[in-house]
Formats: sequence, structure tokens, C-alpha cells
Amino acid sequence: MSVKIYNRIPLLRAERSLSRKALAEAVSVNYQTIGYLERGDYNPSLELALKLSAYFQVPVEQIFSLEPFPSLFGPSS
Amino acid sequence: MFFFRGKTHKSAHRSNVTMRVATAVALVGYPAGAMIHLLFPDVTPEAGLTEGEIAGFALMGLSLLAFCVIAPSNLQRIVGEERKHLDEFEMDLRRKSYTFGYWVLCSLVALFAIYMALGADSDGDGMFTLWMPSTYDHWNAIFWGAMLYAVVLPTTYLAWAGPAPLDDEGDVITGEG
Repeated sequence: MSVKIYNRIPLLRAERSLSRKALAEAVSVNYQTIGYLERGDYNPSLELALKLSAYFQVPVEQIFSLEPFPSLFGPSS
Repeated sequence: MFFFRGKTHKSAHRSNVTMRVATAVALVGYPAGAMIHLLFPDVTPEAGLTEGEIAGFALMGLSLLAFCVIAPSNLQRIVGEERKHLDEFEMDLRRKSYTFGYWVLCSLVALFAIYMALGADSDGDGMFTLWMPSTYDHWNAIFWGAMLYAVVLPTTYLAWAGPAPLDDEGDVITGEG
């Protein structure tokens, strides 16, 4: 893997109370693939990124980013 | 490539440790058994099996037993299952494992060819004599060894260098607690 791509899949899953398996079935991949995506072990193809974007109904750049996402709670003190 | 798909169409989940041990035993046991068998030939067939032959067969049997652990496993599914049953991440792992298997197998074939060339060249010149496969049994052992390596090497890559498997399949993150 050349570039690390950060993602908000765990956050979006938590918001919707979705299991990895349910999300995996929705986008037609193995549940382990969702886990590796979340862990940053794998960068998704454009097709999978767009499928996830369509499933969560958010723009793809709100799920994936080349830069770390800012914390929701601000900088830790 | 080979994958044993059971009646339930599900692969057997094996731990990384199990797969590492199984692939190591399969890859080491077979050639070790064949070598022992070669070093202790059955000079008097009517006397039954020698200790060396028994040890050789035992190691080869152990190698086949390890293959039986590998064949229905989740990692072998990535290597041998039909493409339509794999997702993009698994296909990516398959490409990496095939590349590894290809290079290792090519290297072994090249080394074997060099050995055969040296053996053919040295024959009868008095400098040194290398053992050369000559009988049907020798070539049979080499053939099945090559088949075993071709099938197990890609799985070996996944077991030793692939990502650690995730144990949970359905954890829901609730943010509570």
C-alpha cells in the first residue's frame, strides 16, 4: 500500500448501528474486507468507495480522506 | 488452483498459527520424507520396510495430513475459489500470493535445472558425482512435490505475510459504555 487513506466507516457504522456483516452484505464484500478497510490495511477501489458513499448517502470525501479527519471533540488537552 | 469447498459452501476458519504450522509442515515434510526415503533405499524388498523407509513415509504422510488442514481453509479459499466468489480485497491478496508462489517456484525450478546440468556434466569425469533422478519412483516423487509446492506456496504467503484475520464478524459500535 503506497498512501494511507483515512476513513470514517466506523463512525458511520456506529451512527446507524450497523454490524460489519450487514454493511458488507449491503456493498457485496466479505465482512473481513470492511474490517481491513476500517483498520487502514486496505485502500478501497473507486467502485467500492462509491458504493459505500451511495449506501451511507454522503459524499465520498466525507468517508475517505488523504488527511486525518479532525476530531469531533477538538484537540485533546 | 485447488480449494476444497465443503457441502455447506463455507471455508474452515483456521488461526494464523495453525496455518503457519500446516504450511511449514507441508512444505518441509514432503521433501524431507523423500530425502530420507532416498538415503535408506530398500535393498532387500522381501525383508519388508526399513526404518528409514518408515520414517520417510511418515514424514510424507504428515505433509499430506497438513495439506488436508490447508485445503478447506479460509486462506486456501482466497487462493483457489472461483473469482466470482471473491471480493476486490481477496482478489488483491490472491494476486500477491500468486506472485510470491510464481517467483519461489521459478527459483526452485531454476535451481533444479542447474543441479541437473551439473549432475549431467559431472557424470563419469571423476571430479564428483551428483545423485540424479533415474527411476519412475524418483520422478513420481518430484512430480507430486512440485504439485504440492504449486498449490501450497501461495497459501504460505498468506499465512506468513498476509493481514491478521479479524475474529469478530458482526460487532456493532454503539458508542455506549
